[in-house]
Amino acid sequence: MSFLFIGCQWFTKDSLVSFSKAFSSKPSVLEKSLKRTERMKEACGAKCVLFLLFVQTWLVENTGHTSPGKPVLLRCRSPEKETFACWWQPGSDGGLSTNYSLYYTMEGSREDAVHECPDYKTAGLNSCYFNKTYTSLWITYTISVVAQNALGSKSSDPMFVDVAYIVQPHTPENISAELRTQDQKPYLMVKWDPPHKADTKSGWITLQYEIRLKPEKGAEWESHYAGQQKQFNVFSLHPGEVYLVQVRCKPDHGFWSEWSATTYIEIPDYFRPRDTSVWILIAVLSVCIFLILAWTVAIKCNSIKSYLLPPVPGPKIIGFDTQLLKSGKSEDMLNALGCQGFPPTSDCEDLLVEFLEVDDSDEQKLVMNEGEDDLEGRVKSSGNEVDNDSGRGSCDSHTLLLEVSNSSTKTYAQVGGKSNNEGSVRLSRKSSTNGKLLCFETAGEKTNTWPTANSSFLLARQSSCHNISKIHREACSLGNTTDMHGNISSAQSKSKEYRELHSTVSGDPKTWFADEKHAPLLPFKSAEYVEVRKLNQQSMLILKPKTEGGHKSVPPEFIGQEYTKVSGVISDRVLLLLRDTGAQGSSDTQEGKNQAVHPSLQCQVGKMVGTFPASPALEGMQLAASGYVDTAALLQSF
Amino acid sequence: PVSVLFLVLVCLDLEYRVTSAPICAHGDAGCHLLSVSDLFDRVIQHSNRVHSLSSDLYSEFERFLPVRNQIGRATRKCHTSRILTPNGKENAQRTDREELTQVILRLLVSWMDPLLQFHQSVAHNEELSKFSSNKALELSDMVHELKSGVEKVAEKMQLVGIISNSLNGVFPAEASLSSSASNEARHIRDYELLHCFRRDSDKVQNYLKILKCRIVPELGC
Repeated sequence: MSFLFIGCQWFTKDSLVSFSKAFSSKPSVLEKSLKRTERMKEACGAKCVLFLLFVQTWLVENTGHTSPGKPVLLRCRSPEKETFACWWQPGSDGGLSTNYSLYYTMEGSREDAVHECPDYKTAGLNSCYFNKTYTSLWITYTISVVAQNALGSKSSDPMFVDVAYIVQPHTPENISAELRTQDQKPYLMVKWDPPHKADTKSGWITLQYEIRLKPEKGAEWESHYAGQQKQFNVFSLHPGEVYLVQVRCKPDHGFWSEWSATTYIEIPDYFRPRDTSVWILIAVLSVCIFLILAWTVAIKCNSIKSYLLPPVPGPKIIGFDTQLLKSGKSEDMLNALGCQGFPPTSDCEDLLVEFLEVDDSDEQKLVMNEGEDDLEGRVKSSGNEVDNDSGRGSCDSHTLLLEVSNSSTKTYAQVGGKSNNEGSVRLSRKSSTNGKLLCFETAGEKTNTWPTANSSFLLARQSSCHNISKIHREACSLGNTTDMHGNISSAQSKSKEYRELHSTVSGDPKTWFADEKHAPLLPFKSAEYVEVRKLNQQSMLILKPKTEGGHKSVPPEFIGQEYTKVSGVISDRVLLLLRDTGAQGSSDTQEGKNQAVHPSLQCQVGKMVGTFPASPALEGMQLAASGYVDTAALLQSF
Repeated sequence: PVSVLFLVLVCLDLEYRVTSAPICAHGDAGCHLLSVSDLFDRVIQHSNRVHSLSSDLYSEFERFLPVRNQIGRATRKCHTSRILTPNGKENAQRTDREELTQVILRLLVSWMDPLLQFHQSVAHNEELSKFSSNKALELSDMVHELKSGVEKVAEKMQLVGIISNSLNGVFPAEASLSSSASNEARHIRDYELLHCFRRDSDKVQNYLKILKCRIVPELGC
């Protein structure tokens, strides 16, 4: 065995020598060694080779020494662009003590001017630190680390470094977070200083900053880029929480620093934006509710108004000119009425014989004239108010007329012509659920029917008092014309006047009618006529109630042939009516003029107010010395 | 009367005519400093832009070219290496204003022609994107603007008396223009040119900032 061992060793030695010689690129020696190895091979054979290998591994296991592994240069960094340091990671040390050395060359110097690291300690383990004297900017360093042990050495891959591009500063310092308020909203003002080693004062380094913060219990950071400024304001804070704040910096072209140490700041809870928002919500809701109410009131304005302040109707007398009346010239006024010589002379007598037909049907059925169309006007109905103010007088009393409130009956009193050669004035009243319509139609003397004219009579809601002069005028004119019937256009043109007429009548025709509920008070339940007898010399409009037979609901007013006459007008508002008994008149008040919508034509001379009961059952009648009758009181008694 | 009114209007117009006037009149020392500071800010902004453009182009070329022999990088020389430039903070702060200004101008002037040629080379290169060609053109233009800006700053400083009138004529460093036939050689040459220029633009920016903070230290330093 030992002979074999010696022999193999010699053999290996020889082979090694020969191999090494072979590698020294000498072909002749190679041939020789090859021949020799072949001979040796024959000698030792496979056993020798195996043995050799065994020996080698045994040697390695016992000692464990190899040449070192290849180190790796990790990074080089400069904190302030004046010095820099490099770190490496060692490879395996091969079991032997390995030392590492760093070598570098600088661009521009000679190729073989290799320098070694000046400082291995300052930057820590496996590092090399270059201080100011060894640092040159804008020069490429070629750095490599060599690991060396007894068995060999290994060199790392070189790293090319230009110090100007490897700057990674330290973290910013002196971070302060201050809570401030702006418009009662809290915000955070964060201030910091650059790292003390970085020279920003001289302009050597320019740093940009980034700040991040999060609530203590939050999951994610909220980052903000702050540019080159050294403070930053953070809004959008949640009160009552503790916030963590961090800052970092970066040079123009370089690496971001580490995040600084955390600064804690608590946002106190007394900033309450929620309260403000709650108050705002409440204010908005109340404004909305108010607007809705206002809108509702505006919509129902009219009905509310009529509920609260029922309009006072006025008389509707065609041809009655209130202005003339105001001017006090009765002559002119009467002339304007279309008749010469008021009190009317016999010329117009036939025209003045007009009939006030009051028709009140229960079934929404119009008392139709022949071919008469529906009158589509509406009259506002007021509530069932009873006029408590008895002093108001006949005309202004809103209870003078029948009130129909919410009655489904359509009643109307037509003032229109029938086949009455005398030209009847029909007081039409038509009511719907909402109110009443007071329509006036006057017919000419020779008119038989008045269909077309009727149809075109549309009353405005708040029709005001008639102009009696107009009525008369129309009546006269109508009487002169024979083409009343078929001429719609002319009728319409005249209807305008009638509309005016109607519109001038007080829009509260309920004053004409008593409440239907007070059945006995309804003077117009049936078609009644009031005959305007005359305008006598006393400037009175004589109304003659003309009853048709068979109407039981004839109010007492219309019983009999009684009529009242207008005794006079007081201050444009009041129509003085005289009872036929002579002793009574009606005193009027000025009440009705409160209706702004209704012009104060309610009781003027010549206007037809209505019929007044002549029954002695008028208990409430105030018998004034002047002979006035308070129709309000009259009606009240019913 | 109409003519009189017209005359009046014209006179009024003359009175209220808007003219562009410098913020400060001549002869006011404090005002001069302020405008110098504005000029500095402007050229620093310019140089920042120049450097970022050169960095972008450099990255593009680095990506585009095949993996190079790293050793070759370090040994290549730039044509501006002859110009002595301070390579550290102390060195730069030791250098006086005139010399620093001179160095800046020299660097800029030396790069004007090579950048033009670079742009032409890039424009003819089909492999590069149009984007790169535009950037190269912008780079060349900006360097021209930057150079004229720095010249204005130097004039202003001489006017105010910050620096003496010892600025000699600027002698640019001549660049050896090697025309290469092959694409690859041209690529390599352009890449190295960019490598050198990026570094020089960083130098220029740094020197300008040092100058500014030395002359007008209050604002933004």
